[in-house]
Amino acid sequence: MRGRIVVVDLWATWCVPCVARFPKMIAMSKRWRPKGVTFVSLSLDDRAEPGSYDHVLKFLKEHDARIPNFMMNEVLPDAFDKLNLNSVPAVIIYDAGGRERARLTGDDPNHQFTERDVEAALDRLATPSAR
Amino acid sequence: MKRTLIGLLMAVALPAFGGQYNAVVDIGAPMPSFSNLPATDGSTLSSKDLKDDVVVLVFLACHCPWVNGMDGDLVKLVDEFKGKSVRFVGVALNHRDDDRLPAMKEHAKKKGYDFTYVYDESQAVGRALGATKTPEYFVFNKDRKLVYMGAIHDSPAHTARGGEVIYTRGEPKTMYVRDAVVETLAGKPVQVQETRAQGCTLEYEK
Repeated sequence: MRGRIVVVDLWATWCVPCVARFPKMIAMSKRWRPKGVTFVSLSLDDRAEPGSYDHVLKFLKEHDARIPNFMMNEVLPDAFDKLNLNSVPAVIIYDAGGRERARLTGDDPNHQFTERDVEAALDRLATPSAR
Repeated sequence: MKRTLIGLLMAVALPAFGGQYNAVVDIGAPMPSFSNLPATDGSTLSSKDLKDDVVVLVFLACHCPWVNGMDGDLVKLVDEFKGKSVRFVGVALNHRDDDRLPAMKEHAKKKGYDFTYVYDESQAVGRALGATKTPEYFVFNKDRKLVYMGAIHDSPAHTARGGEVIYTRGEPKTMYVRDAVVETLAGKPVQVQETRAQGCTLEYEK
């Protein structure tokens, strides 16, 4: 991922909007891969819950998630504190130098992020002058 | 240099509104008014009908494993304040069949909800308060000013796939909503005014 823009998609299997948008995220990852962008999924499912890891893995396989996929070690409240996040779904975008450049969340009920917001952020970052 | 300066300007341009975890309201905000929201018991509720010294609005969703993990604690809390001038009101607003009134009625009966549980099709109450999760609590004093918002206690719980309740941080130690209600009833300032609510995202129409 060095030298590439990285889109971290934060989600959980218990999160209905996360599950609904997962296929769109996978489709987006394929479109943006040739443009120097890597999508990564980061699940906030509870690692300590028996069967949780296998459940997440099963979901990823069913959705053909051929991207790097990770799972937080912390339980949800600690994960949220660590990431300074209030909810999932959320998307954090890092530029090729590893700096956070966009954080898209559902924190504002009047502007919960959409896939268009993700595309717009990538359009801005993936142009040569932006890097 | 110009980009750095702009970056600094953006960094110090803090939002005028919003608390630590809430993008829309801060402590002290007025309770939004609402009219004739349908409830699971067949009645309707308006904000002007609420006469109690403390009002607690809690955003809920039947499908959410975090609601199902913690609504037992909510039911106990409501029971604790029976006979006191405290009114709990559950609010649902997702536009999903499994979160609308018929499902809410069934859920309320199954879980023994002994509080008014309303459905807000317009989603206006949630938008006005910046409510974005279920469960998420907003406690108002008798002047209907916000004195606490966030989680019910310090150990968010969810139901696992097998149905058992898992408390993520063990037995809850600090009961934020209970403390806020007790302090407000006593006319004292609320010590912990805001915490990060944990749960499922409320989905608002775009």
